[in-house]
Amino acid sequence: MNLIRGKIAKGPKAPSLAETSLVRIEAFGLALDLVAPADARSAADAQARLRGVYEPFLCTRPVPAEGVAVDVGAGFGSFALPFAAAFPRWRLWCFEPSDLAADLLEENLRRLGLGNVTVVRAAISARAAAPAEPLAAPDARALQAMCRPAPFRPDPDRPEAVLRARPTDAEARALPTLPPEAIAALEPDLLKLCAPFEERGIAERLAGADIPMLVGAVWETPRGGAVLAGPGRKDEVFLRRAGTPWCLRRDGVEGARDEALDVVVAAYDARDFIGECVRSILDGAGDDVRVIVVDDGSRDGTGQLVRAEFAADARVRALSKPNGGCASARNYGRLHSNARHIAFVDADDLVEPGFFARLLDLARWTGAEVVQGGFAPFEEGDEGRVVTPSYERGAFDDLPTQRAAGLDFRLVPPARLLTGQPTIWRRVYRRDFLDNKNIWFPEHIRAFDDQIFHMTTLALCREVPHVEALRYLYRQHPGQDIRQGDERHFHSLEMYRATLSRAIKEGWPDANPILRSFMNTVRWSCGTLRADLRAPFLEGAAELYALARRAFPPQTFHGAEPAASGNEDFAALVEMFLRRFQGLPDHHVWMSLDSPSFHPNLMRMAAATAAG
Amino acid sequence: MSAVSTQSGAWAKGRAQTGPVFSCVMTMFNEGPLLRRAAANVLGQSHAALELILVDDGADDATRAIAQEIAADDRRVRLIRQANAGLSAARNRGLEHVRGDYVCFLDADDARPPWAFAAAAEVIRRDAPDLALQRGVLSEVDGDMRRFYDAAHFDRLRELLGENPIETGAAEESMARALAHLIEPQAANKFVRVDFLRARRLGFPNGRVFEDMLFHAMAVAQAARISIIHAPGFAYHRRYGRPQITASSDERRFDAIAVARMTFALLERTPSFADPLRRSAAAAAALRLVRWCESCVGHQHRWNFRMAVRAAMRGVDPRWSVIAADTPLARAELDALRRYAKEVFA
Repeated sequence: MNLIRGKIAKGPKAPSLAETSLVRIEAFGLALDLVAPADARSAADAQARLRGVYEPFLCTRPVPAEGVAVDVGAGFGSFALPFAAAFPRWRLWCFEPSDLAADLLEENLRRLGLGNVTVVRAAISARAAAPAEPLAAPDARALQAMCRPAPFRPDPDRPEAVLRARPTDAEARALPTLPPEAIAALEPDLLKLCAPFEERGIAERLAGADIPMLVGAVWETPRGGAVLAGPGRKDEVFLRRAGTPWCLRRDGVEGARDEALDVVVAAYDARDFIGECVRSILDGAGDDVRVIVVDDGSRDGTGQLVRAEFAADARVRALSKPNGGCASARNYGRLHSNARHIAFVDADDLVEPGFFARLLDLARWTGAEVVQGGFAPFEEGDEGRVVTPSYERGAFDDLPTQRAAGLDFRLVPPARLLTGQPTIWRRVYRRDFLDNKNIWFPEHIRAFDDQIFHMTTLALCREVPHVEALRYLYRQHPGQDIRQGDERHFHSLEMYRATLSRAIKEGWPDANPILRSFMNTVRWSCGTLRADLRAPFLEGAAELYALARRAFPPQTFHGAEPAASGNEDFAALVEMFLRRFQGLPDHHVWMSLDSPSFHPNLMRMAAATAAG
Repeated sequence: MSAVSTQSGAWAKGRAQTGPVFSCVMTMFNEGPLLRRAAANVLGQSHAALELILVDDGADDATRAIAQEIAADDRRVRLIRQANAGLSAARNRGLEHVRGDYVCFLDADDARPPWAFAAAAEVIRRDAPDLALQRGVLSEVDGDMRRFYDAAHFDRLRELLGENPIETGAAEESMARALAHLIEPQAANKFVRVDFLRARRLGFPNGRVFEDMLFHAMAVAQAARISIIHAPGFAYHRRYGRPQITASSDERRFDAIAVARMTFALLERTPSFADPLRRSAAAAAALRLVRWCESCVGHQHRWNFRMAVRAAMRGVDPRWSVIAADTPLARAELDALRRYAKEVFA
């Protein structure tokens, strides 16, 4: 039973506080009997938070033998008291606005005879104005004197607790409240936060404070950037959104990467677009969204333009390299990035304001390897910019909506994305994932190079949080790769072979999405290719398909039958290649074979031989 | 009724610490800065009566430099250096040097909370067991943290025994030991009495990974008394930061077959073999690991893997093929393992 509740649900009428009982709380290697409200939920909630939040946090980081801890929302002491007992050389400050809870807390303190805990009967809220001057480390009485009233209402579920009042609450009453700066003044080594609906304000106001360890259950999610990338040090962080698997986490391991997103923009002769592209990425973003423009040997001064226009913005870097193609420029940007998250944007595209800042926040809260926004094509016409709604709109409406980082999103099984058009540019990736799985752009491939990146990331990541409301705008104009029908299409055969081979080698549980994607590509290429290239392309595709047929079990081809290629000749071609292998048993090793038809450069080599 | 009770209450009240002395064996190879963190987790234990035996298994220069700093800063650290011989050999090497009452392990990329030894000491003082098994925390790649994979087995042990240890000859011994066999074979989850370890010559299969399967099975099968520590005492990290054997698809996975076979062969000489329930739990534990490895190796290895499992099972007693219906496993897992056993013993 998950008792870390996310919603404040209407419960049965709370019992009076006269009804208390001793409950056994197990935490930090101790078992303590504490006085708690007699209703089962208060104690069960407390134990669940210990087990799901506080204990795992302390299990996974070095806890010094002494320090100062601040407990915001101490309740009847379910965190503070076991902590104070287990870490007797720590000093604890407990903040609790509810008199009922504070009474229980003091009663428990008295029973346990702990001398290292101070109780302050006050809430912490950003609704309390920041002090005009920095606070000197105050004593309990000084803190009490600084308190100002702010409205709270009773928690319908827990008799001892209060919640931030809404303007419409009839039951609201004023309770003593301190500004978050009061916490910082205590110079805590550890802050434990349990202050429903106050978290965002508290985190923003403490962004500049050095608090080495931060742990808590949260009901609204503070901006990850304020916690992880603020000017103040936060070495060890674990905040869990109550009742969900979403958490914001940092493990202070040395040599860690920057807490930021680097957006790599590969640019070649993109002078007309690059300025607006970079501005759109930065629009609505904080310091933790950065841009690396890789000028891939442009002849039109793209790099100089970026350097001149963004000279004053430390978030923008322009790197110049000899021309090597889009894939090489993206990899080059990645090699120069030291950020935890990375994205790859095309120089002539745009994003709507806040696109990357918000996806980054979602990436931090979900821990997902890949998160993505929606996208829409646009064209510059005589009448101005025309954005066409994406064909993808509503495609994932069958999946339940989730919420984290202030966004509604759906968790999309990656296989559903894999079979579609490569859209690597509307995604945010975890750098450690890409490195661990060794996923790069193939530099020798000068077109459709994002196909293999698209497939491999989606074959190896978990569910992808998808936010339809955020949009990446991709420019439609003649000359874009997509409109061309030359030999470069043959690279897709090379990429499918490499991916299927990797699927064998790494034991991927299901290669079906790869094969379905393959059939989609064959169909699309046949519609786009120059007429004279169609027959050889189809032949190459059929040879690859035949190899796969001998290497993967039959069920792998569900929905990827030859008919799915949309070409009548394809099935017969496949049969022709299969006849070659007649008499030999099925085996995975078939997938290690290769053919010149999968490699445009070898096809050119073959053509040159024949010509000679 | 005392308000602070059970696990390590005495320590929490600030009374003088008394035994046991723990010897923690930690091997290192290329962990780099992670080693400093893991060592700090051991040296920062509130129960300070301990030694940390750092076995340098042909570590890289950066890791060795960190180990030397750690050893220079704390007299409880002993550094032992060997040419790279693999995890099992390095652990065995470390075991030769233990001087404490109980030995435990922590891999240099995992973690322990400061109360881990105190909670263990409390239970050990009470029961003086041959073996104590402790709950843990799983840290996932997406940042989530939860109770370790085997939490349900610990829960059932608590239902069955309360806070009492597993005792030889007790009425519930059979089921309790079966559950203990099914607890994840993790190095960090156990404290082994050194006298018991020496008497039974417990150790790891040199040259092999998936080594914990054998060590865990032999310790559980032979310990006269097994205590259970319900306070979580270690954290196992799944991470993208560095390659892990448990995330690989290569031939090292074949070690699981070899180790399973050796585990069965050794267990045949213990009381866990004679009792059908314990035997079936031990079989399920080993085959579970083998089957998982089979599902992880590259497809090109799978036929070979399966043949190797079948060949290995020819070398063990056929009774290992029987996984009883009352083996304490979730239905789906039990059914899958029974099918698997049937296939590989065919």
